[in-house]
Amino acid sequence: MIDTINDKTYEEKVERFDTAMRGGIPDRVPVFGTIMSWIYYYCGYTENDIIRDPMLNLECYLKVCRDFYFDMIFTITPPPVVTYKNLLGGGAFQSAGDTVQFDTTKIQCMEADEYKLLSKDFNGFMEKVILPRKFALFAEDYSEDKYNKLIKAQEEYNRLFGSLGSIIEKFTQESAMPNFIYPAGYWHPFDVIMDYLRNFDIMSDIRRRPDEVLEACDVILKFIYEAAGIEKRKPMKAKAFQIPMHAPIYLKPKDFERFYFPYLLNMIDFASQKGFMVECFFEGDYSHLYDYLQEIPKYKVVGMFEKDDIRLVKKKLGNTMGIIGGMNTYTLKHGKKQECLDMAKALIDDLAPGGGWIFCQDKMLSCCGEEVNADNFKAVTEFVHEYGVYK
Amino acid sequence: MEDKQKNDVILDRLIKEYMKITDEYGYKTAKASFFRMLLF
Repeated sequence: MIDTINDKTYEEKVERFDTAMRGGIPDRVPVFGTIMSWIYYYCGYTENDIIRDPMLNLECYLKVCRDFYFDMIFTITPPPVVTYKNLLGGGAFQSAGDTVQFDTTKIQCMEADEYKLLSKDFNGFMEKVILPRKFALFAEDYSEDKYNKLIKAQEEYNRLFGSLGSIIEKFTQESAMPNFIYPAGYWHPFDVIMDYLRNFDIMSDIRRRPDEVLEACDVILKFIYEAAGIEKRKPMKAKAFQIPMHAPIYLKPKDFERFYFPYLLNMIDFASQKGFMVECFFEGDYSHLYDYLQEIPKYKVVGMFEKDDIRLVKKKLGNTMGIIGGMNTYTLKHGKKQECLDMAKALIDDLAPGGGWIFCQDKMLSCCGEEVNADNFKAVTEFVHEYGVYK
Repeated sequence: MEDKQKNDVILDRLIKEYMKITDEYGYKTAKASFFRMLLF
């Protein structure tokens, strides 16, 4: 439970964010902190330190939320579970010095002629085909040794994630800071195939075996719905299921229309029918797809934008969804403080009128501490909170 | 018990271990969530 002293602050932040994400006019422009692994380095730690001692996560999030003004943070999560995957003997995450890197060469683990096998029995396909290819331990014949190693690996996973619930509870009590994303992995089926099974070969698959790709997407969609547990959760204010969108920037509009958009609409509809909001993370530049995005049901989605012209986004999509983004991360890193403040002021002057906009830097801070200059970031977040008042 | 059945027992045990630290939405959801986690 949130303590009495901070109750009002917490509720104000939730109300402010919830109003803006649904296209309304809050009391102030909300400041959203999409802060991830960056916080460890800001606090003098590395990702590997957090993997060794997951409770350091609490210390880092508390410090960052004391030092910077936010109305909402993205989520609280440990770094990728690289030690767990190492015990399994595979996976795409690798330790690289003090950081954890994603090795894209490890994605490809499904052949083009296996779509029908996937669609026939997805769980069986995972168990018998994909897991043995991804992880050496799953490929071994049964033995007591294999059994013991798998249990040991799972215990490592539980060590990393077992403390997360208590960390979030303590963090919320002490900081009065809400966090945004339901931990649910609400992934688009086309992205599941591209990101984890076929890599960019899916782009030739949609030419050579389009119906098989669509059939596989149908099956994976059901799997994602089950894994997300939407039907068993209760909606909360100022929270959303995130769809991290990767493939559309590589798709022609007509291919987006056939292979991606119907599933995106289905996922939005499925969540909204149960009272949930969806956050679409438009990774990359989506300007070639605005005509489609305007067809999304109004204010069932809040869109987080990365490389688009945020003013054009507000103009084209502001009547369809709440908009998150705008602050150039490169400027926060390399610009002078006044340059950053001028940029933030111009964004507020241009985007705040009419509501439906949430201030945020345009990149998630998920790397090794070099993405932003902390002094600039602190000055900007405080400025937006003070200047971005609706009168 | 055949090795295939033993592997099924292992998977079942892993999912039950996984359920100890995930939201309690039942075995079917936990199994899907477990597979999704291993995709990543």
